[in-house]
Amino acid sequence: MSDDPIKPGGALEGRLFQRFLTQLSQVREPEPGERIGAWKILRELGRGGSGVVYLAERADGAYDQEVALKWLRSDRPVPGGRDVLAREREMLASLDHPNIARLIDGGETEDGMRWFAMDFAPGETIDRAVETLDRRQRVELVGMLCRAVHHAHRRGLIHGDIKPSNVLVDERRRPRLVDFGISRLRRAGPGSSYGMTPDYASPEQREGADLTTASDIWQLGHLLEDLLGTDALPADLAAIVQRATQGAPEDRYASASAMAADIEAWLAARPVAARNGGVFYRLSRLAQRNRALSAVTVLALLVIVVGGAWLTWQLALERDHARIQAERAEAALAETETALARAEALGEFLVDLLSATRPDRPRDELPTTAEILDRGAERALDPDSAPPAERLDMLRTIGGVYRSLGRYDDAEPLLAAGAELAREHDGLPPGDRARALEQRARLMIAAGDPLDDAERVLIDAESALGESGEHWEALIGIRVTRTWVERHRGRHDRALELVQSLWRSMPPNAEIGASARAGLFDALAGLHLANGNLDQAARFRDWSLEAFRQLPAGEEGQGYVVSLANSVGLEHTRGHFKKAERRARRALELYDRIYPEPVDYRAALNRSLARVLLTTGKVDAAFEALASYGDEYAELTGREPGQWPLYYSLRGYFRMRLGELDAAVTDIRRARDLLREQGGFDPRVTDSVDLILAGTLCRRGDAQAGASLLDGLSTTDNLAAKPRTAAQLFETRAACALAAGRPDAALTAINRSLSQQDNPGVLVHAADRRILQARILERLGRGRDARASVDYADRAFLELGLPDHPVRARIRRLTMQ
Amino acid sequence: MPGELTQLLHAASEGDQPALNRLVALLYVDLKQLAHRCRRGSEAVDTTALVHECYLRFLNSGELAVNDRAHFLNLSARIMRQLLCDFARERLAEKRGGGAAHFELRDDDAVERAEAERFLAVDQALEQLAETEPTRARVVECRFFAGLTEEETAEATGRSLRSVQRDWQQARDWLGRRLQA
Repeated sequence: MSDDPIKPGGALEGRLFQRFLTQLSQVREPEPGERIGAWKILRELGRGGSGVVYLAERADGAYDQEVALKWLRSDRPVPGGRDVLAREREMLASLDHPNIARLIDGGETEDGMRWFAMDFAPGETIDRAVETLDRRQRVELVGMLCRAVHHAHRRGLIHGDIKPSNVLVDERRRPRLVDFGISRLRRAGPGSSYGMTPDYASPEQREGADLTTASDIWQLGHLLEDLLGTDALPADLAAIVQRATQGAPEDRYASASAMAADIEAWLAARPVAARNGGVFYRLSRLAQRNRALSAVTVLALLVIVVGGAWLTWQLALERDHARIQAERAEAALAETETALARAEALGEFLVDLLSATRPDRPRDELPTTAEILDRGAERALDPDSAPPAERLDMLRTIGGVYRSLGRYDDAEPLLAAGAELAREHDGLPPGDRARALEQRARLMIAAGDPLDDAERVLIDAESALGESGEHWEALIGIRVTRTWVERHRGRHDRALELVQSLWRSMPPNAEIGASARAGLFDALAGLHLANGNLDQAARFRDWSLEAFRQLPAGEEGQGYVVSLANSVGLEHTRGHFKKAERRARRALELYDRIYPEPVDYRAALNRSLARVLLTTGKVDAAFEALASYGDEYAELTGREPGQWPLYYSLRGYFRMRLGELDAAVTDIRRARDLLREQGGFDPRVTDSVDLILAGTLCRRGDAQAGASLLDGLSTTDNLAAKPRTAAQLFETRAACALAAGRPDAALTAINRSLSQQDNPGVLVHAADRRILQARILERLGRGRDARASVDYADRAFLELGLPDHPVRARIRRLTMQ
Repeated sequence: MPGELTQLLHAASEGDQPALNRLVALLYVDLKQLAHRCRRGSEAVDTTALVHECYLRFLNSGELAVNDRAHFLNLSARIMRQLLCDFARERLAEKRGGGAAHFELRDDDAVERAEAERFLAVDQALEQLAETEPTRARVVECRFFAGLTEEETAEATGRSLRSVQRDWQQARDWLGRRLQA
């Protein structure tokens, strides 16, 4: 080029352009219709630096097969000659993997043009295909590619040119690698990186070194990076990219399958190997993964069984706290370097910890998480291990992890020591002191310590914060925990007051993070509901949803989904059936994404959904949801399929409401037998089943059997104390009194039952009770009142927009009689 | 009934990939014929003028409606830039990586290599320029990579001759500074 670097037509005057023209003149290109080997050219698919790709089909028409035929620009002779080519081509053709476009054929024309035919893989190149995909889906694609590449590596084949334009993604979001091995075949032998896309050439490829599997791994890493962008990449993903794209091949993943394993680990929230060495990190990943299996689940199960919906929510919140804690630990790890510089003692502590667990351990083999944890606990409990501030950190972190793993006994001494430290050293940061005390209190509550003791610790925690008004988030945490104490005491009014006063006293511009806001609104929603303020509850529920959505995990965050699921019952009660069903379905979808394993959240949600569906008359769908609930609980609790007793009692209950009394009795009896057989259920649970059975038997006219079941109840007072169970109790008494020929007593009882609950969510139950009421009135000779009673029930369906509800048919039949 | 070229141009400018591919192929074929002529001709051939002839043959083929000339010139410029930069990249990779199999260092290679690097540097700088001054970037594309005249560039970019001259001058200064740095 001349001195003037940019003159008109400058690009067309130099030697490079001459060379370009020379090469062009040497290239012969096939025309559509021309036959190449066994193939007939149909049309051009694309054109790039290395050649032209055509769509071609079998020329002999022997069978329908379309291929992508790659026509390569003339190359220099192949060292080793055609034998090498043929051999490698054969190996490539043996590759059989759904994510690899198979090499089918290839050859050289008379005039020395080289071509290859591959499976025709319709689709977009991956860089375009991912435009509509989220991060997780992008990562999944690369994970699949890693597996495919590994498949080839195990057969001694190297791709050599993995880049976006060589990965096609079809409509079903299946990625396919094309051009496998072609960069090598084009010029077999070492050192051939001809046609490499410079951006995608691994460092050793740039140096002209041999192609190796490590180059493919580098390119996979680069591809992952390109697809994800570098903005705000989670530390784990950044670590995977970094590991794959290390400058020295030996520092990269040892195999594409190791990289795939790390990607899969990330997708399943397990620790990724790329970030080895971080104690807190591993602990936090472990805690995240196990959160669903923690002991809290077992407790939640019991609570769900006895029907305390609000308590379930709180337990869900407890689990969220474990998660938030784990996230914090992870964030802390991201800052490890800073943290280590700040607190040298903590740094030494960690290093010691790693080497002390087993000094002879090879460097690349990490101690198990449990080992680290136990060793860490030991150290943290030793007063001389570190200065108070760092020790408090350790005690809280490790104690918190133990707790979230359900190892309450192990957590106890740590959190107790942390609380002690917080009490003794008032020079420690107020926020840390308060949190240590709060953690301790939470554990006391979970462990069943006297509530008064826990409450005292919580009040201490609040006073540790002082009056500065700087610690709203910590205060929210403490207050929400205090509401538990009140809830356990049954004082929902006082519980509500605790959070409501806080809500009112918070300045409107207080800087409160999404997670604290979510916690506060969640508590307010639950407590308003417990106090019967449905509209307020719904309002705060929506706000909590919004706050949860703003957390990093967004709609796939556990808090969001649980909150969404919690709103299903509420909207059902408020008569917003469509909204309830929509939310339930959405939450189920999200649960399916978050939890591949069975989990009580989803099970309970299916039960809620079944209720909504029964109310709206979608009976088959209701039974389907109910079956999902039963299956998941059975699996969750380690039972054989079909062995979860409460599935049958609930199904029987539904059937009773639909007037199918015989089927109902069979179901409820089965539930009863299973409960007996399996044992260990709360008497409130067995009583509630007996109660439904009694009611069904009496409706069927079996007065004696019903009455004896009613007499056998041991928790009558308890049942009478809550509107829902009280309505059930009085209804059953009414049914049995009627069957025993005492219609007067029956009328009193059914009226009492009907006065207990009145909301759209009990539509079907109320209708059935009205039918019973009508029967009683009929027996008393008050036909007109009986008629009014069923009319009233019938109107409710019409008012709620459910004219086709199957229960209406029952009502009509009754009216005819 | 508009000619094939017009149809292709319309489809390509609406983002139709096959149409664009077909256009590239057409231009390619023409360049190939040009290449053959070059080989037969003497060393000192004015390639810019030859390429230019290529465009003219298209423009005068009668297949193109008058108001599609701008389209065609514009698209050709883009295609030329793409082809040349692809080739430059390939050459560089070949020189770097393929050394083992093909190892002869000649002066030609060094010159070609310097040119290839320069092309890619300009290409990259143009991408940056396009973010703030897209028209200037297109003027450089037309003039430097495709060898269009000032008048043709004005036609392709739909601007006045004066603005094209100004844009070219300013973009050149900017690129000069940029490449020096």
